[in-house]
Amino acid sequence: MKFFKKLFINIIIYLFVLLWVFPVLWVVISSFKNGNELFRYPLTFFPSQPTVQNYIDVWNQFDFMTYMSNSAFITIVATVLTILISAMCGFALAKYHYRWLTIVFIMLLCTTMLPSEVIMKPSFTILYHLGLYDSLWGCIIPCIGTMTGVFLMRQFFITVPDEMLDAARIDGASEGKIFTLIMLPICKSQISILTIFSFKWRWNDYIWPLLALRSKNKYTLQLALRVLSGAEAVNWTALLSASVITVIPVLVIFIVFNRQIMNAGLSAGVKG
Amino acid sequence: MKKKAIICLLAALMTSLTACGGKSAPSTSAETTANTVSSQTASDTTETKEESIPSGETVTLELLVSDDTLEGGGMAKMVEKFNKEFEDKGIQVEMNEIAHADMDTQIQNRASVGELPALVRHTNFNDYIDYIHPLDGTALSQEDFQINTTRNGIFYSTPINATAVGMLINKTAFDEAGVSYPTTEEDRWTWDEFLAAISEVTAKTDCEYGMVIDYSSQRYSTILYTFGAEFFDPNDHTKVTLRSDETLEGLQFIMDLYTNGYCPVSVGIGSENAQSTFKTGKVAAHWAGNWVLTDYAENITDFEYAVVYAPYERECATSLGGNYLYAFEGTGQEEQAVTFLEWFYKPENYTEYCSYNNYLPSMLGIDPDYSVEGLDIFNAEMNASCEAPGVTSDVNAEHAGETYGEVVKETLAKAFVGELTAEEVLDTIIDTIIQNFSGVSE
Repeated sequence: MKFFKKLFINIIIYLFVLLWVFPVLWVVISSFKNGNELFRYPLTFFPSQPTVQNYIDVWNQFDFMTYMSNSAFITIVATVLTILISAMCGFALAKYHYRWLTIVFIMLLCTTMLPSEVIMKPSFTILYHLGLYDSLWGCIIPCIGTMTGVFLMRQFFITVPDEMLDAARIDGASEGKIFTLIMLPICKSQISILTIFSFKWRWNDYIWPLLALRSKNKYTLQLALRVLSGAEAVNWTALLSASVITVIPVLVIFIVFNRQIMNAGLSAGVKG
Repeated sequence: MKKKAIICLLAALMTSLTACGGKSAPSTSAETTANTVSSQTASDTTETKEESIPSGETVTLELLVSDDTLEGGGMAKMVEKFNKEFEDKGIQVEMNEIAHADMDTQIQNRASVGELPALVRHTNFNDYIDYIHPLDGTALSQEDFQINTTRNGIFYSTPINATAVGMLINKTAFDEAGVSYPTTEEDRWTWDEFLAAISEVTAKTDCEYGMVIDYSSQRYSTILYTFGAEFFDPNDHTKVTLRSDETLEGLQFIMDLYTNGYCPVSVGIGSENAQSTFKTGKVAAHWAGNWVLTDYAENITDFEYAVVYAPYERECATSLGGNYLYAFEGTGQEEQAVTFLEWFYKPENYTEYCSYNNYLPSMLGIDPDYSVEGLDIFNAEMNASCEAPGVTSDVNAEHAGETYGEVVKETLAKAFVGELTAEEVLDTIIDTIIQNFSGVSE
């Protein structure tokens, strides 16, 4: 009975995995089909004449290295700064007990009530007057303060016993040392989660770079990808291969940091 | 593992920083020196302007375009040619290609902070006439173009290419079924003859559907025009004259195409793409625009297709569309932008451009050398078309900033699934036009 229950659960799990993985597989395999085969009826899963020409064409057609390095710069810098700011802010909100900090926390929470689309125009005006229009920093600075990250970090730091900080203070550790040497190392699972999310947000960001950038040598990969979908025509072969290339960095980050989440002990930093 | 990940991240960060630092330099050096360039009167010729630019000073014009790579890269080649010819004459053009869907967002956003590009190629110019540099007094003239871009007596924009609606067939299927198709204008099908032909093709071949129509108001409206429908009174543009027996007949004909199984309903309601469906080879005909030819030439190899003369009921009709090339006012580069436009529309250059991208020319007297077949028939459709599509286009232009959207296709989609009758479709279309266009009535 137990065996059948386990089997049933596994079948359900693998069905869901298939449901999620199949579209991705379809995209990857279709990227090796030629334009004619993509629309042949009946559809076939595997290409009859696999070709890497789509990848060669799209690589030659677009300045991939420029777009890739722009996206990488924005994503990496924004992710590092997001983690740093979220951790510092979360630590302060969790461990310093001033009344006005609660007000700040409530005000920060209130910012989540406004969808980012609503504040895009005023954000753009500020960005322009700061001289950040058409600069990669214009895609980084407005995005690094995320309440999701702050909240995630605050909720974790609340669970850390105050005694641990007091012990460090008695030993003569400064607040900076406490944060960098004690607090940051024990929240690696939260950092991993935030890294995955932040990387995905910034890498896939479309609307803000569209507004903040205007020079083609500063475009991100996502802006460049959109060029493949025209008013009346879509270059499917190029779009599929370019999409596969675009997915790879996010996948790598997920694989690397996913292990960190799995390895992180829930009681990290606390002696049992 | 953690250390390796951090080292990799830092290395990537440093690389990116270095790459970005390196890239910003050419961008800064390409900054325009437009303000130092001596200004010329608009009536000067291209040659005079070229000579007047001080040596050693280079103005870099930004040309914002969309879809050029998708449509053959013709503009990129022309920009390259221009830059070579003007290398020592102080003007260079830098093409900035973005997605078509983002053009309006980009233009409006950039207009809001006074950062408009010098030149734009876009499907829409009516909404921006307050920002466009007029072309009156230049070597360019409205009389040279077949699409009217003059508004309030001012020639604002050059129509860079024309598009037309017509009929494509699956030639292999027609040949296999032994069904003939019109090869001259005199042999045009009536719609009934066309339906008989596609019925025979679907009966005798593997084709599952007789026809697909793009999910587009323009394509449906063109069928209505062939039935004699008129959206507006040609003599009084404030009068909506769509309510007629001809229109009702046309709407009922379109609805019957779906209810009688000639066309797939999934395409009619926009959930499937007509172009992709035709490419499967399981459809006998495609009511489409000429732009599909480039895609079909590249991606259809399993069967042959052909452009045929479009069917008619009372009138021959096609709807013109296209892109426009224009210069923005207030960039400080208007003179140089006009120089580019004048160079671009020299017959030899414009012919070259249309040939590269297989475009129907909007300039009169141009005969491009096409690499795909069938465009001559689209050209013939433009010449044979009745007046009604042009009137609709003029009225739409007169109502710049107002739009009745895609009400034709959206209302018809509801009719295809049995939610509306032809009369209700007509009522909805007319009501929507009147509600959205100021000063018009039945």
